[in-house]
Amino acid sequence: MRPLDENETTQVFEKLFKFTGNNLKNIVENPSHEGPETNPGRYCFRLQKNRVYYVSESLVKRATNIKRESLVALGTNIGKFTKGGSFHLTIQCLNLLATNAKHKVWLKPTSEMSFLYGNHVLKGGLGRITENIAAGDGVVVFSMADVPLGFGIAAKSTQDCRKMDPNGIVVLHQADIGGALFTFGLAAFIDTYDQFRGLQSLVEGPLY
Amino acid sequence: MFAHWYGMKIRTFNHCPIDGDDRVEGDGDGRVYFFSPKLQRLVHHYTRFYRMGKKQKIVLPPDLPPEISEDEIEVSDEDLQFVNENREYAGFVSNLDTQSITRHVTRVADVKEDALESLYEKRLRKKSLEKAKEENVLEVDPVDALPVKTLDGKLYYRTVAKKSENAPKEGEASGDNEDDGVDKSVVKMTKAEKRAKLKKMKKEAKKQGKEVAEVEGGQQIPQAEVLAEVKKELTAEEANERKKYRLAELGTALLMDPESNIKSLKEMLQISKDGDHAIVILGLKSLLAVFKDIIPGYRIRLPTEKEQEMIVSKDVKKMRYYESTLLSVYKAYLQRLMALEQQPLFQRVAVRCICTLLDAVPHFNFRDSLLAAVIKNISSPDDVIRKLCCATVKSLFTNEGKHGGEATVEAVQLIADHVKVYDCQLHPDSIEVFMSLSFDEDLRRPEISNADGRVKNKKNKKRKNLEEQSQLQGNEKKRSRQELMSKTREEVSAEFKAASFAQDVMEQRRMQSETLSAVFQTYFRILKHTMQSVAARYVTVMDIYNKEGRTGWIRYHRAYTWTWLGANSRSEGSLSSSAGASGGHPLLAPSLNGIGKFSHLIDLDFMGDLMNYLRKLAGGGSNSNNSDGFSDNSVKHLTVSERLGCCIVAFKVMRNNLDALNVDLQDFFVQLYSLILEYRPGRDQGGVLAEALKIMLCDDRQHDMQRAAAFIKRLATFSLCFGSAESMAALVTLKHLLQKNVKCRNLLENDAGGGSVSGPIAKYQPYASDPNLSGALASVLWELNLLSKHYHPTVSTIASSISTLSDTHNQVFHSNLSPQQAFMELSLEQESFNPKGDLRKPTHKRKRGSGSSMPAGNGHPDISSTEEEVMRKKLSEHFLILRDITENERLKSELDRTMMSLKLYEQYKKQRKNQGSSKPKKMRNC
Amino acid sequence: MGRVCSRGKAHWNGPGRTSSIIKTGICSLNGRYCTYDSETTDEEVKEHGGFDEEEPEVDSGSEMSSDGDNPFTDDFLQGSDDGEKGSDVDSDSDVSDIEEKSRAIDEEKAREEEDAEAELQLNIKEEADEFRLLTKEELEEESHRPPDLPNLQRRIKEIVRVLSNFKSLRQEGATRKDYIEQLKIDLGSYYGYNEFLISVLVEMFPVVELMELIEAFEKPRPICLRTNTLRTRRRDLAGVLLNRGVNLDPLSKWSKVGLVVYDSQVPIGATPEYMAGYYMLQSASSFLPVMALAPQEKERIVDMAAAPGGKTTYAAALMKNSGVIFANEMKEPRLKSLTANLHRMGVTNTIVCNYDGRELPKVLGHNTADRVLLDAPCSGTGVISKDESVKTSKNLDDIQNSSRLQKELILAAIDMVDANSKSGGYIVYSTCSIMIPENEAVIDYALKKRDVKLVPCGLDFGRPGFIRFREQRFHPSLEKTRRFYPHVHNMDGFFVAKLKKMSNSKPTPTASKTSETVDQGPGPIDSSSVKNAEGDFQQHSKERAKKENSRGDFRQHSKERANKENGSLENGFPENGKDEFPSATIKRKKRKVPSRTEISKAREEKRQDLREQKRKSFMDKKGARKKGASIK
Repeated sequence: MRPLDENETTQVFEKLFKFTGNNLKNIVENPSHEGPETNPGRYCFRLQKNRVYYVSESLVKRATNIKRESLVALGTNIGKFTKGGSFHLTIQCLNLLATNAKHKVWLKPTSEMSFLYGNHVLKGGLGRITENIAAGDGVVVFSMADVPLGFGIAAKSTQDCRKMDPNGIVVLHQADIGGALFTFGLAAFIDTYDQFRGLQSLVEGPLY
Repeated sequence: MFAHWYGMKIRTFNHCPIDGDDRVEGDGDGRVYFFSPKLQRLVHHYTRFYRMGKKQKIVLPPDLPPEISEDEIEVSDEDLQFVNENREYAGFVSNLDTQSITRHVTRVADVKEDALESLYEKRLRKKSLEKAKEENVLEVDPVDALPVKTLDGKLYYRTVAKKSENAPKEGEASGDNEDDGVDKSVVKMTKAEKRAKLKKMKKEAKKQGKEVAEVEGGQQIPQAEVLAEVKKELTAEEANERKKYRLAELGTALLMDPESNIKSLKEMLQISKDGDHAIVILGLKSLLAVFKDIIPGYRIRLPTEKEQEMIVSKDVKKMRYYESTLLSVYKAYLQRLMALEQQPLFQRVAVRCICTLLDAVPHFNFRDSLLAAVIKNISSPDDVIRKLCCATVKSLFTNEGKHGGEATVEAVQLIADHVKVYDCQLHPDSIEVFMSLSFDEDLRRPEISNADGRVKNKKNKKRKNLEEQSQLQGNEKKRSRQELMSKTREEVSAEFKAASFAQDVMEQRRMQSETLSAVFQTYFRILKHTMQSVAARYVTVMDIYNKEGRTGWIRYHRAYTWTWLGANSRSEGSLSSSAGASGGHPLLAPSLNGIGKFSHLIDLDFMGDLMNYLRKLAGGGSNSNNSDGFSDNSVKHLTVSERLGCCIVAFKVMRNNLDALNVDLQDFFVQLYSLILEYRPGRDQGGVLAEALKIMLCDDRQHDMQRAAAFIKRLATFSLCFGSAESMAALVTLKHLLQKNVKCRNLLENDAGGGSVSGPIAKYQPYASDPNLSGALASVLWELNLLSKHYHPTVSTIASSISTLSDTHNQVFHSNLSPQQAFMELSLEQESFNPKGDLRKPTHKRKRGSGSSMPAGNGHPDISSTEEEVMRKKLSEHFLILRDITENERLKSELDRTMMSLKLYEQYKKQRKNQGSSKPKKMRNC
Repeated sequence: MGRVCSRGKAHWNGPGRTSSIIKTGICSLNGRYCTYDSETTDEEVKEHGGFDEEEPEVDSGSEMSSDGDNPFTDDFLQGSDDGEKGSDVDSDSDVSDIEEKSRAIDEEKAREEEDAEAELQLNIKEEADEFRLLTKEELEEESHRPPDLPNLQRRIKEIVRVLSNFKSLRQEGATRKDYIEQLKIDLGSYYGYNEFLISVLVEMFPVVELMELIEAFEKPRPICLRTNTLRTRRRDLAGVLLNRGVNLDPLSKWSKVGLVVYDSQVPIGATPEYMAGYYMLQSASSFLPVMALAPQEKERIVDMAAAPGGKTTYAAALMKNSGVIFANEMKEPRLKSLTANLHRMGVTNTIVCNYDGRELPKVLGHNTADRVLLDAPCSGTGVISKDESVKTSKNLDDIQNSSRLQKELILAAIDMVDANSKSGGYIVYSTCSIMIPENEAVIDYALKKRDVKLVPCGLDFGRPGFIRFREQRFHPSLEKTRRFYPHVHNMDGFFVAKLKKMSNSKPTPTASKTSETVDQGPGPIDSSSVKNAEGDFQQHSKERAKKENSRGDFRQHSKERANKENGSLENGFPENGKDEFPSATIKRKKRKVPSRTEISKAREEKRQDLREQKRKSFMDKKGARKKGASIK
């Protein structure tokens, strides 16, 4: 586990900035509440096994006495560096993005599942959309009940969306919580037999 | 004679400052007036003296000087008028430098005047010489150099000779009345006077008819006493009277049958060119009356040469002659009006005539010149004129029946140009008039729809509209062809109808779209202008970031981002603060209103830019949605109300054309969230705030929970520290929010999970500028408890009702009430806020009843009731004093009014004494 | 389904049988019963004597009945008698011709019964004939035959019925043991348990309850959700799920975050809310340890076996993501699910590490944590309803291995806890096993080894843990631990114990011994016995009823197995009983007598310990006082 170096930080910030805009400041500057101390300090970014974690400083302090190979995760995993050294946000950072999102898209209940299966967001499935979205911005996708479902890249600006036909793609799918479920595999989430049954029914069961 | 002149002069100079002051209101011209009075007066006396000397036509009445020396205001005004009438040779006055003149003046003040006189004489000789030249070449009235070409190709030049001859004489006698009237009306514009003027200009029409009669009828009695009092002015008076008679006769004759004595129009015109103030005005007005009456309901098209050649029947010829003369005279009249409109003295009359004409006969020829004149004055500093023009334009907009809408188009375009020329520094009224425009949807809709359907990205409306028409014609043809196939008569007739109607529709569409484009161009220009003055440059953080990246790297990324964003905000701050010097956006508010009103007509292409502008404006010039930390809030140039207005308009626009796309205006919510804090009861109007609350929070369909909670919390805090009206509005909104999204009700419950639900933000951050980032759900609405002890019973009641909202799901009272209404009624209440609250008592009872209807599980209602009893007792003493104060003020104002009326009456008497002629009355009429 | 209808049948023809038996019972052996009753009553009081007297009675009873006047009963009894003989061959040689005759009579009786009840349908006819234990041959041939389940089930029911009212219903000469053996075999074959597990269960529970338990193991537990209070609240979640067509109710009163799902149109594990971590699918039993742990905000928590994170996320939710949780998991493959769940539930205050739990104190340091949750890996005998494999896979070695591991783990857990942390100092030990060596034994061990004491779990329901199990005697405070059973609480079999660490000093063995002995003072014993008498009354009595061979197979299995092979009972059994009885008593005496002598010494040592320790925490003083009290 080590802090990010210069261009790693650059990459991470660029990615985050696409989604959070100037709220990036809050991400970096807000005081953290994890950690047993009365003031756990701020949040910081740490690299561990080419995954980037967004952690309270006090957690970092306490994680130091765990040796690298047996330290699995800490805080929030926001993304990972590929072999090529490029940085990708992973779905685990959704909470972070959703909190500080600048551009949001709300999906109609009917189109939630299709998004959760990795499809792009079409205009038809759009419940609400933040104004002033420019094409290429990072967009966080919510359900109508404000459940963050995933994030993606805006294919069209808000203005163009108005003139689009309902089959036009509004947001290009990048990651979604359902995807997390599948990438980790069903077994990953099995806590109890009940849950296992739930997941079975997820595989066989009807989908809206 | 000279001696008396000197005396006069000396007196004049002693008085000159006062005159100067009088002038300030008097005329519109900026440069001349400060020092003109003294000088012009002198100049003019000498010119007159010279003319008298040269061509002795009229012997001066011997006792003229004393009369003048009685008070020189009259003289000065009359002179001024003269100077203004022929500017270009009195214009040198403006070139004179004050020093020398004052020097002269001082010299004049002490004994030796010869040098000075010689100086004047020299100047005047020069002037008179060139004047003479002009006269014997062709005495063109310098104001309108345009000759009038009649049918028989002759050029009529309006000659100034006659006027200039008899100008002086009557000028002295009559000038003062009008101009006293003017001065009075300007200097102390009491309500009575204003109303009188408005009424005048309103029922110009019928009064005119009467006036002619009144002219004779009016001056029988006054004449008697006039003769009794002063016999000296007899000649002048008689001349005037004759003219008036003449006017009256001609007018009546014309009204009786226009065809036969159409020629007399010219004579009337001539009379109206009279030098005498009153006569001129009378002439203008009677002409106005006549024209209004005799102008036909169609445009007169003058026959071409060929038509001239071809033989026509006698009556046709007669008709033609009639029309041509009418037209020519009308034109001349208009030119005359334009000319007079330049002069401060006649301005009002002229403008009034123009407006009346434009209002009455917008379809007739020379409408454009009328329009131009009106629009030119639409934002004049003189608010009588301005109101006049605005009213005219409005009436033009409202009843387009008279003119098939072309007038509207032209007017709007003219206004647009006007705004453009004056760089948006105009009086709000000039834009207000747009509000009275009306576009009918059934014309508009199809156009928009197939506009959106067909033409993709085009930025100007006109082009779009053109092709619209083309393909629309196509539709027409097709349709008519189809209908032709079926051969029954009614179908044929229907087709005819359709065809004719279609033509009309197309025409109307064209005009409407042009109007619209002009209107919105204006609005956007105004917004742009405001923008530039505010200079809210969005320096995106990434740019700065790149710069930073190049310049050098800060190791620790927090410091890094700090400087990153800090630099951004700082640079921006400097930018906008530098540009921020130019404040003052007079047209912003009305244009915002306009956009709000016509938002459903905005083309989607404009929408994006519009929203951008609005956002930046609402941001007050700084992208303040993250300016909480370091970026100083000094970059707010717009007032809170203006920024609120921007938010409101943005929402109206969005609401009025959300078609299958439900846009969430996050930034505007952020703005509102911060604006609530910046709101100050005295400074900003709470009505706007209430409206914003209503439109943005109450009407909006769904919020995300975080935001709603944040607003609820902030509104509660807000309502703690502001007046009862604002807090009432806030509370109503709050309640509405709570009722709408149930999730936020756990702000009312003091249990765990409230904090944890608020996701990453574990505890409430009151200073967060973004509602989504202030973990409001972690907090509890303790404010309500305080508010339920609010001194204002209504507020306390609603507060307690809200705090019981969580456990009683029944619809409690007030839920239907909108924040605006709440604000209005309470603010009204506050003005007459007496604790006994006779007017509030019953309402309060009602509320208490309904309040008690909710289960008193928590003892809020009864607590608040006892509270209120105590408070009312306490407040009763306090407000007794307050009531006395208000009482005093009322009495004082009454006293003032009576005093003023007395003064007026005295002045009136004085005038009557000065020259007991019946003019004052008529002056007051006009 | 089939099971249900068959049970219905049983009820239907239950009365007929009992009535017939009661007739015979009354007409034949009337005088005997009172004596039995008297003996059974005082049998409750005496520990073991009851059986020694009972055995001959039974035999005599059988002989008495054999020379009864009524030939029918005589034949009948002989038949049954012979059935008993079948069970114990060549023990006492009887007249073979009688045997032959009786068999012949049996057959022809059966035949005429057929004629008599020709019209009755088959099963009733079979039911109608009196239940009797099978002969060896029958057993053998049955073992060859594929087992016919309804028959097995019927027999099981019969045996249970008989055992539940042994004296009235048993057949002459048949011992409890015979029935038990038969029952074990049948249960094993019917429900597919291996004989080890079934025998353990049989020892732990009275027969009736055993049946309920086993039946409960057959049925799945209801699906439970745990609301993730980091994301939403139960009310809101319930609303959303109801809208999605999920039919649910709040879990029972003891949980604020639990929901029970009855049925749902949508896959409950695939709703967007689930994926967004608004709730966790989690068995009700796994709430318990966390509730017992009761983590506070800003505490240092260690979850020694975290995967798949259900308990960790619950703890994090209770802490509102403050403080820090070390979520340890030894098994690599489960780490993935752990992290996945942590992220899904939005838990940010965890440090996930991959160690063997026993190394953790070295890694995280001693006395560093406020609370430690040890949800120990176990044999999983409580969650048989979740994987059937447990029925057969587990044997005694597994139990002992896991028990050993658990003992090491709990010591590690205790070492990590900081005794003098303001808010905490607690260890919660839980298993999903109902095996006593994995639960009470482990806690008892911990009590001996470290300076910890049991505190109430804060769970107002659940059965108290065993204080004594057959010859084992646990620390009386073990009744503060909680056991949960599927058939009682409708959740997985579960065990929760909450320990408070009294001092960071690792006590010396003597100290531990003293602590143990001191706690073994007379006062606690009596109280415990009283509690035991009222607490799990019938269960212990039953225990005694089938003490002998169960004891055998628990103490030394080789011998037990030998017994099984040569079913020699009358020699195997009495000597069992004989040497068992004194041994037990002696054992107890051993415990008591020296303890009295040692007490004074122990007290001094304890006092010295206290003096040595710099800080005198309040708890310690109290403990000392208690000791004093217990001594006087």
